[in-house]
Amino acid sequence: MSGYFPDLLLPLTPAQEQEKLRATLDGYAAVDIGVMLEALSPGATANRRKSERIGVLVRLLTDPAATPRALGTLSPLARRLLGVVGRGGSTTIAALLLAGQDRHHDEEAVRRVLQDLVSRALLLVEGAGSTGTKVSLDLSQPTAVLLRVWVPQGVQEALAVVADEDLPPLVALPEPPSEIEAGSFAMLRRDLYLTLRFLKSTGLRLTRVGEPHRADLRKLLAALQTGGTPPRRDSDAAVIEGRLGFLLRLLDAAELTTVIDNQLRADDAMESFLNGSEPEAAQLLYDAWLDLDWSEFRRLSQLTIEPWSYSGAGDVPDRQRNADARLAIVELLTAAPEGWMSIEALSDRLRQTVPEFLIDRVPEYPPSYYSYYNYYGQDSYYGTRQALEQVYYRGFARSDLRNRDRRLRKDQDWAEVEGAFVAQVLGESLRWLGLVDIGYERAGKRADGDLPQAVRLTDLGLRLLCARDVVAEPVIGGVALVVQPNFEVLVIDALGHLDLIARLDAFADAKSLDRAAIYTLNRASIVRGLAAGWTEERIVGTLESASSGTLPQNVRHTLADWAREYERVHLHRDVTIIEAPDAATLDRWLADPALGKGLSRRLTPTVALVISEVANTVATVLDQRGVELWAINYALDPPQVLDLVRPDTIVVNPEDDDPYLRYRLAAFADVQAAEEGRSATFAISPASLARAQAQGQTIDEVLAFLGYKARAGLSPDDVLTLRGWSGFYQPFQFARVRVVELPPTANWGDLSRVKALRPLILRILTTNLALVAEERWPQLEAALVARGITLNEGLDIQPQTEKRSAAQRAAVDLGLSTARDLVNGTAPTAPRAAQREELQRLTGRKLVDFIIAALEADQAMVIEYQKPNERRATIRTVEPHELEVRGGAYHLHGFCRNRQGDRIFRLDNILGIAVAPE
Amino acid sequence: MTGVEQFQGARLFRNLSLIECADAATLAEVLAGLAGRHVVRRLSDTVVVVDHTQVEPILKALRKAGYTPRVSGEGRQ
Repeated sequence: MSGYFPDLLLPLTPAQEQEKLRATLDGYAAVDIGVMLEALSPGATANRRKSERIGVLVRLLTDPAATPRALGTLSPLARRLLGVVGRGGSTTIAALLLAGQDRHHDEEAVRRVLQDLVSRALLLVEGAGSTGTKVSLDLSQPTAVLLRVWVPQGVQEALAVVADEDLPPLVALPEPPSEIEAGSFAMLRRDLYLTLRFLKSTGLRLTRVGEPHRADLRKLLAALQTGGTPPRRDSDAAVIEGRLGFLLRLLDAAELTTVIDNQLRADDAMESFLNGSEPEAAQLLYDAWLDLDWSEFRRLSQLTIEPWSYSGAGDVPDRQRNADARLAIVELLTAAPEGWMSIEALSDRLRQTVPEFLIDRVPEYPPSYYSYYNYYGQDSYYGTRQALEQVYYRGFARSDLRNRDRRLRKDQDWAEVEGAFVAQVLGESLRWLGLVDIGYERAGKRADGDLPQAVRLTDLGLRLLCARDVVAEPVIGGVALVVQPNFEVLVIDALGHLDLIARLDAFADAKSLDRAAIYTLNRASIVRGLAAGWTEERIVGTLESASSGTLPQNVRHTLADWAREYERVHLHRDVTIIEAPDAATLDRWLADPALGKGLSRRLTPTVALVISEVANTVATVLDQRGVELWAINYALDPPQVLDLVRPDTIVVNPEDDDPYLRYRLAAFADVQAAEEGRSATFAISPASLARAQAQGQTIDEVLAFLGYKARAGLSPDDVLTLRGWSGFYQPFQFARVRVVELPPTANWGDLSRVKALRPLILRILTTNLALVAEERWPQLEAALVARGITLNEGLDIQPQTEKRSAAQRAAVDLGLSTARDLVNGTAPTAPRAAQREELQRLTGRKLVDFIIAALEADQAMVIEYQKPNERRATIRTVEPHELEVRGGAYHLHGFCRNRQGDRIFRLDNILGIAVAPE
Repeated sequence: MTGVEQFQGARLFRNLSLIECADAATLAEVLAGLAGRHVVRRLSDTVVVVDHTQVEPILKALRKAGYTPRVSGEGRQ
């Protein structure tokens, strides 16, 4: 048997039943069949062969008249045990030994009853030994507990009415328990509401394995404690966190949450759930719980789940088994009398009727699973070992040993495993669902893992599970809230008015939310509501209808003031407007059906707001009407729209002249002339730049703007001048000095080490150039002359042409023209040829200098280029555009004449380079 | 007048930001603050175009000044 699913058992046809009986009895020894036949029909065995005996026995067992007669002679315990087998289709002797025990029958007595049933063929033993031996029907053998048994269908049918007759009826406890923990569906709904509100507004991040993020869980936990006190003990916190996990799974199972971008969010179904009636909501959640992926078993703190080295999870119930067990518990609970029930009695009843409702006594391995038991058969040495081993639960053990064996026995520790599970399901899941109240025999502080001892169905539980007609409190209606003059809103039965709470959230701030809720109305909350689409009238209407009266006057007037204030200033962000040349034209456009539906409203006589989504349609219609259109999109920032003719003069052509450009220019320049149809001129002056600085615009921002917008960019002189006017530079220092140049045989380092000379030198520029202050000159001159050094007037000034940058020197070396050469007309006239063998093998700085020189001269180059993944190098002629450092390497951007397109060349891949022959 | 304003056809401006007030006095009051520095163009006594890149500072300044401006039309086209 696996699981508790009696409804799924399908009856066999008479022919199938007879076949099954024959196959089973065929595995029995002929003598055993003879004994059975004698027991059912004395004398029927005489002079018959085994097959004939089987035939007679099958006829007897399928005879509708014979089976009730046979049952009539049985003890009530025997009938009950047959009922246990019949309920599950088949079971094991181990399970029957457990189910049969009670105050009057110990294990040995039950074994005797079972032996009697087997010998009467009312309980049939499945299968034969794998070694070909006949089935042993001796239940005193240790391996007998492993035997799987079943009951003929005819016996089952006859039993249907008498199965549990020897069990005393369950009775309610005479006294209520000392301490009661009430189950409250209202509190569940409140927590679900707060959770959904949190998920709607904030969302819950999920980890990669789909579990909620710890930090977000803590935030949610805080959100659930609105108006409540935080848990004082760790164990309390663990229970609260456990409940939170339960709530989240329940919401997921009830399809009230959804995952968007790896975040858990409230689903759209949330609104209807919150606004639904209590019975509907309770039914939805109960149905979701029945099949919930949540293990009450794993929450038992008395048990430690251990790694199980064989296949599966040992005896730890899986999801389906958990769900089946929940159903078994609920069915038993609903059949119990109304009032407080002992949980122990309920669990005991489950043991006696459905002993394997949670965990099988003898695990059923799949045929493919290799084991000594399967391989050698039960009646072997290994079978005996297996039989001895099966008495222990597998995959979990006691958490708290207290000098006991850590392993739990299936034949002795029902109360600690299945019993605890029943208490756990009742004490947590069903109580959290508001379907049961639970009770403890002892009042006061309880230890961790203390389980409840009593249970009763709540009114909601009776209505939902037993379909009892219990009068329910009205959920909605009457005075739901009170608005006080201090702007506090008290929702009297918050949990019964979650729909109202959801509406209040839009325009009021929650201060506490418990059975009653307190909200405050303030300007920020009302503005929030208005921004979310509420109107003043709707807010007032909601409050007045829920309070069945009018609002306090001060509250009413203040709400009106806040709403008025909200409408006083309106900021339209990223909108589209259309401007007509005159009011009459705009009148016509507004009256035009095709245009009018694209215009939302008139802002001024000549300006109207356009519905942004249809702005293109408006433009098209205007074009169809023959109206010329000038469209500007401020999301775009066009470059090169002005001319900086001098550092102090900006010219803007009429086609580029728009209000926003003027606004930007006006920040640091003054408009000079802007005649109709002519270019506008702006002047930059030290005063205008000072104004810009005063308004927080730095000179670098001005330069960046001009650099982007000026067609020719900024020259060094423009930058120097504008920076100078803005006061960017510190004052430059100057002094009257003499420059002294030493011959190559001397250097200023040596001279400065002479004590007498050191104070006379103003500044050493290079090893052979130094500055000497005019007033110190006579002393220096005298000191040098005294040391036999002759002084000549005049400097050996380096010619300008020799002062070249490294790049320029490289260009000269390589026969390239520099920009200066081109300007001076001194560019080399005979560029080099670019055959592969003539390409220069340059690397590193030299290659960079070569390319910089080519860029300056705007000179095309021939390169030999090979990427690391290419087998052959190619010869390309490249017009260089830019040299860029990216990812720690130089890259040349240029136009490749061979490929006829822009390309990027990594300098590392350039094997050779030369000037292109033009 | 800018070149655009002199244009005699239809002028379509996209992605700009406006401040619209209930009355001229309110607009004058609003423009006396930070928003006044970012006026691109005045459309009427109650409507001005403001620098679309400065909307957040303008909003912050308005709220600091005690206004509760209604904000609409977010989202660039």
